[in-house]
Amino acid sequence: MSQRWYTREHEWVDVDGDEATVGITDFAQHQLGEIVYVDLPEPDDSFSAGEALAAVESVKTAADVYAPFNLTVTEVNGELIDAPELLNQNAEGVWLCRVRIENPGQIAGLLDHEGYSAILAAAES
Amino acid sequence: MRTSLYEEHVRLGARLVDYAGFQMPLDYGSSIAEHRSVRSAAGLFDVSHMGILPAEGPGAGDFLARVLTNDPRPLAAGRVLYSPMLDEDGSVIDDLLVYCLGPGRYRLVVNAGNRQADYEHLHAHATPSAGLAADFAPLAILALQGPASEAILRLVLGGEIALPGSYRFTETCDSAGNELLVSRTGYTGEDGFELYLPAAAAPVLWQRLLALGESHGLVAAGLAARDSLRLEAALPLYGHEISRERSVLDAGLGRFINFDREGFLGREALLEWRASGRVRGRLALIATGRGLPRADDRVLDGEREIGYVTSGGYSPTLNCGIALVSTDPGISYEEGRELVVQGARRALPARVCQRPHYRRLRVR
Repeated sequence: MSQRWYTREHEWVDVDGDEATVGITDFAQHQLGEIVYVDLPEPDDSFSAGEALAAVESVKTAADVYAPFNLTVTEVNGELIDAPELLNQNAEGVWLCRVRIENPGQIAGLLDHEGYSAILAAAES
Repeated sequence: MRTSLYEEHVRLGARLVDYAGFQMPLDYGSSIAEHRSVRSAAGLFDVSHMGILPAEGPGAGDFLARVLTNDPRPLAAGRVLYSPMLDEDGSVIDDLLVYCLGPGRYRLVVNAGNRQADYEHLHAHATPSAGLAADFAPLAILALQGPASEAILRLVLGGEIALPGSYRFTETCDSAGNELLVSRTGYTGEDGFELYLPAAAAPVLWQRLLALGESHGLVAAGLAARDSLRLEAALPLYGHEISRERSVLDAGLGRFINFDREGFLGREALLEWRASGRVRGRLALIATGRGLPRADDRVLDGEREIGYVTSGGYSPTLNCGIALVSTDPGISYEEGRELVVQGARRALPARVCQRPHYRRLRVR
């Protein structure tokens, strides 16, 4: 059973053993507005924590999606290439990529639902 | 500040943004859908943030002929004129519309972001006989734009009303008896109207238009759609194609300037500029890669920088990124030439294409 974590940069991460799935939060998609392009990495690409893993471009602006920990990409959600609007429709149910976690110790730096909600509450006040 | 339609925007679930000090709707859910509705049917915009400044007096025509590059004095009543407004040094203070209501009776409609600068400039140059108003008129402006606009307006105002032709207007009343100025102008590249009426009367007309227009596909549309529509139609936007820092000639607005006419502000500076060979060129790009050009991105021909993006974004009609570009003096390309838009994040391949990117089909 996976557990969902969040980053301060508004990604969500479902961790299941040494594998994880990464997406952007509903707050992120709402801030971006209508998304028209999603740039995804290639399987087997490796990223260090904090590196730009993917990019999302909306009518309004463009934003990077950052690697939440050191990882290697195992699979990308190619459906988003032709249907980027899926992220606006259901950000927290649509994944960008599946990855192998290379440094599990870095998971401790992520936020749980409560911690992330507190950040959102602070951002909105 | 809020326009008199603020409550309507909130009720429709608009995403509100601050624009030139006004709380305006960015979109009502999807700017792309709103854009497409304007191209295929019709959209209704609140543009009440624009400033309306009357000049009514025996010297109004001469005053406007001095502050505008385009002379409004030959206008007949019921005509609308577009004109840049320059400072003495040739810099562009604003671009605006002049409505001629009759001899010595004019109304200027200016950009929201330039209300203050325009007001100060105009009052600095106004003669007492120009009759320039001390305050902006408390009117709301609704823009009804798209191929279904005429049919919708006839539903709302009664089918027998004589509607004006392009860049003309007519004065009438709405169904509640409020004064209503119907102008066949717009900023979308489509047929359409701009409706001027007392601010307090605007919510009722707004609701009636949306209710009666629904069967014709009318939707409320926000500033984001307004911007993508004008970008596709290559209509200049102050702060992008036009600004204080750039010559009005760089923006391709030379056709609104009669250099033979003496006595308008900025003429000497413009003549000098024109003779200097420093006038920049313009071109339109269509992105061939995945991504959107953005204002101020550099444009490269191989290694060589040849200009910069003045406006860029997503084209809902073409389904890709597009840009308007200001090119260095002396640069010109054929359609199809491959260039690169260098953004902050990445290089985006693009191709020189026809300007405007979108031109509506005219049946008549």
